[in-house]
Amino acid sequence: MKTDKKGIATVSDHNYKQRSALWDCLAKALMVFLVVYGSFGCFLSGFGIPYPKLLFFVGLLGIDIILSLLFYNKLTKNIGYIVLFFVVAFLTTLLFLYINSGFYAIVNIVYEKLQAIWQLKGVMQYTERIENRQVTIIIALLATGGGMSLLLNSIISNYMSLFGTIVITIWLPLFTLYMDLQMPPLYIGLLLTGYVLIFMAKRSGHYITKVSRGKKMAEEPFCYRKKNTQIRYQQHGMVLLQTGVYSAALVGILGILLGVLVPAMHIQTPESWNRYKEITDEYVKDIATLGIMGLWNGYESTGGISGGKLGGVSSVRADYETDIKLTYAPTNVRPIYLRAFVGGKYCGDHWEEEFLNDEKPNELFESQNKMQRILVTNVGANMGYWYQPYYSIMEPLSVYDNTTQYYYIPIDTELLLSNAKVYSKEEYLAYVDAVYLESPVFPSIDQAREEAGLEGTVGEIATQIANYFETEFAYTLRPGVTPGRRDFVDYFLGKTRKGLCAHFASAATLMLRRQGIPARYVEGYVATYQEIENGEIVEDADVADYRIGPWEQEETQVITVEIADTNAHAWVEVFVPEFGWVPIEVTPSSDEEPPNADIWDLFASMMNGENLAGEKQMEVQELDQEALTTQMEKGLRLLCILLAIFVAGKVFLQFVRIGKRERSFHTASRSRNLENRYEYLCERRRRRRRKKQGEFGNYVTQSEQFRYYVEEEILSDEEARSLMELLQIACYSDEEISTEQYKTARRLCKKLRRPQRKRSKQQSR
Amino acid sequence: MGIISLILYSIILAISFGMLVFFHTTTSQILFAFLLCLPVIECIVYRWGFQRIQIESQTTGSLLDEKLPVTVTMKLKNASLIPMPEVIVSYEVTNHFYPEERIVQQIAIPVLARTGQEFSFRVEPEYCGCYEMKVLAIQSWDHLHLWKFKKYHIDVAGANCEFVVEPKRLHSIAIDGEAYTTGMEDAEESQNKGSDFSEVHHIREYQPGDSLKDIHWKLSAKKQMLMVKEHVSMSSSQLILIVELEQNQEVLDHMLDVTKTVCMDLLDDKLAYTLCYWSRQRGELVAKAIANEGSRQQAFHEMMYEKPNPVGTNAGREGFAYAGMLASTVVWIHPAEGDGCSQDEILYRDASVIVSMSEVVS
Repeated sequence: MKTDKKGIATVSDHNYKQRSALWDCLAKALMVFLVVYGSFGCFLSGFGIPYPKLLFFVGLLGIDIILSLLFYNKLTKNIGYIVLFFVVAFLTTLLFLYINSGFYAIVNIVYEKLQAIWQLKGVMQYTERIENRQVTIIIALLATGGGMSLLLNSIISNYMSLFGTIVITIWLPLFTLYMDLQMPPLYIGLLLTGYVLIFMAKRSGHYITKVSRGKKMAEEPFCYRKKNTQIRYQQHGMVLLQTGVYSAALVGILGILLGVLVPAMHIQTPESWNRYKEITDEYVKDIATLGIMGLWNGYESTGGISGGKLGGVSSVRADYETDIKLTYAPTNVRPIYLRAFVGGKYCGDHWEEEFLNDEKPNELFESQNKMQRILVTNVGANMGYWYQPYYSIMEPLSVYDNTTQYYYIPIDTELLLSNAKVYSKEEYLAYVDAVYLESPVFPSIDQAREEAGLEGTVGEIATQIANYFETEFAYTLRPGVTPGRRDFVDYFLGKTRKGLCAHFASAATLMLRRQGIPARYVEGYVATYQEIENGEIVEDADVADYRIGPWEQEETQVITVEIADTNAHAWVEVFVPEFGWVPIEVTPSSDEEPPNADIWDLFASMMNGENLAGEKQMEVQELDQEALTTQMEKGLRLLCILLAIFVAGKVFLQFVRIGKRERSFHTASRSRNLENRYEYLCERRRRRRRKKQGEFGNYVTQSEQFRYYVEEEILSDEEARSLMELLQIACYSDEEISTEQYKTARRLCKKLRRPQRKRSKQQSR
Repeated sequence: MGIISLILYSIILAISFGMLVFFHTTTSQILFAFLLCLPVIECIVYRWGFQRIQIESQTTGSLLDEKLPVTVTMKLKNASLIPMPEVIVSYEVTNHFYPEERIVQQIAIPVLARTGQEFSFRVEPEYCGCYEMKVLAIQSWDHLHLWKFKKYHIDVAGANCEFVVEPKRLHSIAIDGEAYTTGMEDAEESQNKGSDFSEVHHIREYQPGDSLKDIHWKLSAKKQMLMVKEHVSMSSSQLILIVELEQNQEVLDHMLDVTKTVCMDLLDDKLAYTLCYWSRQRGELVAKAIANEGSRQQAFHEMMYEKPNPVGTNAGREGFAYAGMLASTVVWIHPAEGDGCSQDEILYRDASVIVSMSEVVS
């Protein structure tokens, strides 16, 4: 820079040798490392997660240094990021199982800690497909730490943004602080040192590297301000490093001093301050029990009943809390269905509720003299419904403290159905409303009926449907959301062929209706054999109090069965004229684990395609070799795809560039065309020459360039003069060149290209 | 910038207080206390370090024959352990002839702990004169950019530096030599005969550039070191050069070039003379007898510290007339008046005129 004023000119002479890009990079690496390592250290130590400290330290430092060197110059930045992308993609795919398992291991440890702190009844537990935590945790830590470093490296090297840094790194220590866990002062110190250092660098304004983004790109070590009267250096790596040491000393000394003084002073902040935290505790507990996606449930009670809503839940989240308690003296181990919601009319995305006014089994009670008493206590289920067992009547005025008393008759419905024949529609209509025979006409429903081969008694048809679903469909708690314009059942039967109980019950209901059998959709809870078996015995209860009529003496006791929201269920009722509405089960059995999928599983499913549910069934032992080979194959496949996309993208961009260039040669103005064409040729020659360390780039003016053409014998004197005159007209006058002139210019422009080609051929020979 | 830092720091402090309210833990108490104390501690520590900053500056040469660029190097020495990311040095570069025409610049450089920093810049003088580089102030922001520290009046030895740029010897000026040797026929004849029409008035040590003819061989043998005789022309009192130092920069610069050219030409012809100019600072006519290159350089060097007189006052000539000095020939070098002529032409013409004027004066 030259400042010329009043007879004196000062020129900044760059006797300023400290501007080494390497030191700049190392200083940035130090910043990134301090904040990332500090952040992870606070979290891991706070939650007591075991990890190899030295390995993590060395590994993360290495990653940070490598990442910071991407900003060494423009070449390393442009090439480095592409290489890094492929390396990261490959490693992520290759080590996905380890990363996934390690991450879940960390989350599981955290959840266990939360469970211990808050005395939670149940927390999420993720399946660690590789159980060697020593390996998986460090790989997961390096992967997540590396990812965080990658983001921070860009933020710090380009913008030195403290805000961005805090947003990325604060969550881990903040969560640890939230749980009031003890964080080692060393890690807090490292984190604070990083923050203070970034703040200092940002406020000083001296952090612009040679390849920083935006207008502040620093080609020179100095910038000029205040009308060139102030010269400011851009960045000095060594000073940044020294400032890092200084800030570490400041944080250390001041931290130790305050760490001793503040607790000794016994400063008591008002207790009322803490109530804000208590409010949020519930949300954190939800996350601990439901996962992160628990904050975005499709319905209010995706774990319980949905009230006939269909297709809005991508993945069912259960909170594992007890919804209903049953107290009774069991006489068999058949599951107890508690009916809550009955859907009559099918509306494509929900069932309209029907109220229970057609209780045919009421007649049963008149003929039955043997009944059982059952107490249904609503603990956490939706209060808008009664949860009534099959075939029962409610004891009048028996509702107290959310407990309802029913008298019910245990009936073997399978036996009933096996003898129930299918009647004509008219015969059915004598008993039931027409709505129970209405069904939309979709080819998928009829095709399903055909494939299932429905015939025989009602019981046989029910069994055929259940078998059909069992063999042809998959049960999953992650069915995915039904698209808004698609019919729920049609989408299920025709497209996805996987779903949860609501899918199967809805589809079976419509199939039965199309078959001519009155059917309706029911939601409620089921106490299975497992829950009954796990029921707690009520010590001071008398079995006789729970039985009415001449019951024989049996070896039984009064038990209390807890039904969690995971036992919410949907099933079908069919109408049997001689008996009434009979429940049938069509949902296939599932080996799928309880719902614990999370956003990370969504990521996993993206990486692994649709096969996640199947993969989860694999045994850990089998995974070691086979799964790794599969993963490697997938990684290579992904890498090839990415490479192909990259190449295709480059080719596409090249075509776009050529297209744009050709367009600029064929505008309405001949002068403009010539100007563009010559500019392109100059740029081309500059690029070629630059590679050969040539000198063409030094010729700025047209006269210099034409002198070069003549000297290099690319153009003769006459041709050079002629072309230069035409260019002068084209570039610097309002006059439009004629067609003849343009043709001449084009011919001469072509000559500007030919010698290069000849020369390159000669060189290649 | 301090205000922005203050606002940002206040926001951080507020967030920290929010954390204290929310988390209600000892760690958040310590954090809040840390952020409260940090600016105060930083201020104390940084101030202590800043007071130990010292500055030195030097140039590549102190006397320049031509208007060549001069590199000025500034060294900021930091004796403390505190690195300083930004130390702003304000300095000015002035030419003594035109003190109001100055360049004031600031440079913000980092200063490493225990070592310091060095920075250099080039000064490209356009005009002749004495150039002074003076450090006006050193200031610095603390690391958090909340406090600003300043040092004014940096008058310590070595902080400032200066260099002199001599006028350029022109080759295009061809003044009629006969004109200003009018009245010096005796000397001229004597020279033609081979004798030196001058007398020795001083003997001194040999300096590079002195003619071998001037060496006093006898004395050199006696003293075991080369001694030279300084001659003074017998006619020096008769040939007087009056230079008008006037404020117009370009004209003055050119006039000094012409003066140097005339002086050098006269010395080449072995003619001693007296250089006169009106010193505005002293309020008197300064007359310097010049017999050789050394005395000429000395005279010019002193002249470079003068301040120019107002335009059109002809203070040199008036002062000369007032002093009543005797001269056989006076060469009055002054800015000419006239339109349509370039400065060279005017000066050339005026030089002739001046010589003719000298007869009137004498």
